[in-house]
Amino acid sequence: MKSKEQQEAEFRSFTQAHRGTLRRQAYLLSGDWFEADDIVQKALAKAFSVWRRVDPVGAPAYVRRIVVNTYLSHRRLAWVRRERTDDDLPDRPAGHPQEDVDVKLAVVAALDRLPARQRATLVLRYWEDLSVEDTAAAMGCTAGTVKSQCAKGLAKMRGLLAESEPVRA
Amino acid sequence: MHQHDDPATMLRRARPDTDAEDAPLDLDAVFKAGYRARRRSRALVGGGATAAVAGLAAVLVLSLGGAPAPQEYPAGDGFDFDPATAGYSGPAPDVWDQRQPALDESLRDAFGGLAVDSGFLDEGRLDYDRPSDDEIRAAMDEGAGYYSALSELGYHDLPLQFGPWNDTGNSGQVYLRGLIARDGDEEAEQTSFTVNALAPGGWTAEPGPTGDVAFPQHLISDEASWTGDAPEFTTEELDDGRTLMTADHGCALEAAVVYPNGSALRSSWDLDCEGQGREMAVEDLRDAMLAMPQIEYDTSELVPVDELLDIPAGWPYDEAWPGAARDDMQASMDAIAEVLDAAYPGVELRSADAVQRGIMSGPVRRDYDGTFALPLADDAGYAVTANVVYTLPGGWLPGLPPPTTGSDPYLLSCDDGDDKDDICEETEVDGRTVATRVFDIGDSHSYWVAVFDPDGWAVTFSTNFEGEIDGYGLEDVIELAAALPAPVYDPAEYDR
Repeated sequence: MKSKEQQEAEFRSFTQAHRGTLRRQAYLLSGDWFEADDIVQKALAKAFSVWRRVDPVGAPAYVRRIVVNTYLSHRRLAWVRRERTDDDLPDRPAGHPQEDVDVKLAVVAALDRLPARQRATLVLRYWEDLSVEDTAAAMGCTAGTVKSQCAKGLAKMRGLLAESEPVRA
Repeated sequence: MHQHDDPATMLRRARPDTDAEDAPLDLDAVFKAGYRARRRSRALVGGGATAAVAGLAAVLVLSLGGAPAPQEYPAGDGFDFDPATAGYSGPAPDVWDQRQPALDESLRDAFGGLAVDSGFLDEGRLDYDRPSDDEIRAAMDEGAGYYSALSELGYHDLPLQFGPWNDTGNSGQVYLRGLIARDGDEEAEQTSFTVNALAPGGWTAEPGPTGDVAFPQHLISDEASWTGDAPEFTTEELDDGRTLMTADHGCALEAAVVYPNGSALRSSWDLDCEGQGREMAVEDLRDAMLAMPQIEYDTSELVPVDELLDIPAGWPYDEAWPGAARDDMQASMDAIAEVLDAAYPGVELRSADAVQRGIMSGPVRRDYDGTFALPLADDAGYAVTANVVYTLPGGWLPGLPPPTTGSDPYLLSCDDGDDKDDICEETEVDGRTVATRVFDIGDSHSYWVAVFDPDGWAVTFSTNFEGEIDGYGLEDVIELAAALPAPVYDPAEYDR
């Protein structure tokens, strides 16, 4: 059995190698660097608590899954917030010269209005470029669920984006 | 063809920039939290399930087959202190909870019909089975705690299923403990209802604003919260010793029951605050609340708060602050580098950032955090680094935590929870309080030195290395930390 010192050294190395990736993943999921750092800190603590049992080869995928679960837990803990969610997407800057900026704002706003698991599925598939199988592994669900969540999420996005898209003459 | 017809392509185009600067990671906190979780697991594995649940027997007068027997509400032994101004030193240990199956059943019996009839749940969602005890034990043998094992087995966050609940009192001086159940809709941004059982300690039945800002916490509020108007609030003393309170906010209902043994149950239901169109009568909620049994808790770790810590208010999270503080942070880091370089020529600043630390939705501390490479090599051949953190005034206390106090309000502590032989000491250097934490594993040494300045800021210097390095022992590090100048910030802004 590895000594505490060995475990800490090994975990430190793992963290140095993978923290950037985990942090980016948490940011893409949450859309907030502060929350992303909080998620990664919690996920790493959970991973270290069971580090003795983690297969080093599978460790990155395992911790990635913890990050997704922690993000989903954060969303669930949002019950304490009582602010009302505005049903309207935020106004986009009028006459902004860069269409990409418009698209980005509208997409992020629409994505924010999806249920947490749908949002996570779309983020992992389209921003993280994970395969259906890898997304399923990260989400702890079946490939079929990933496909259905993607379909539902994209359909809802389509509706939300249509509402926000200006009518062109 | 509109753009929105192809949302997948739009999504890919909208991928955010993720090239933000790296932020410091508190790996020590990660290790501490990890060791704490391991200890909780061992509490069960080492002691055996039967021993671990001793004293946790629930007084649940439930009849699983026939008509329910009359419920009883014994007052118990009571406390020789006011439980409202008491608390626990940390979250409840995640050990076998023999109350849980019966409690979940009574929860579904009491609230299931109400939740279905009011439109909160579809009836079929309450049909789920708990894993067998053998399955749970097998998962626990792998190192998981009881509720962690249930979670790993997929039995968690289901509708009307109790899970552990912990909250901080007085900014982490103590903890509150209990159980919580929600709607189990993991796709919803916010749960539509909660049922929260509270162990004695850290809360008061006196109505007031809920949440963790006040200590003791208020169980239920009679003030406006869901809407701009105060609720219709009622209080009812029952002959059996219970007290029932209800708050009708119009678009939401809240209720609380205080039991003779000093525990409580509260629930809140979002009916129509966002146009959901759900309906529930206050009387029906009253009946459901009163149908729940009194729950017995292990209060052996409940300790009175002899002296309420006066913790200076923390800061609300401010997305703009790190940018606004960048110049001051950089100037502070440059000043540190100068002092370190004078002692060890060749010091290099590796990374630095202005960081807000705290829990989501709670107050934060403001830190300037820097990592320096020192021109020293340890016995293992690695370059020695030092992490230096300036903590600006607000949201923390100087010194080391008293034995019965949680570590949250303090910058440095020896957590009894981890299984390292760390030693914390408090001394004074040139009239300033200095706290040290040291732990050695074999030839590896780790030092934390926090110097608390009377002006309200602190600097924490941490480092670790293998073997011995001439001129870089604990006393040298203390001297170095005490020699660091004040951070650059506007004292007027922090004089609140």
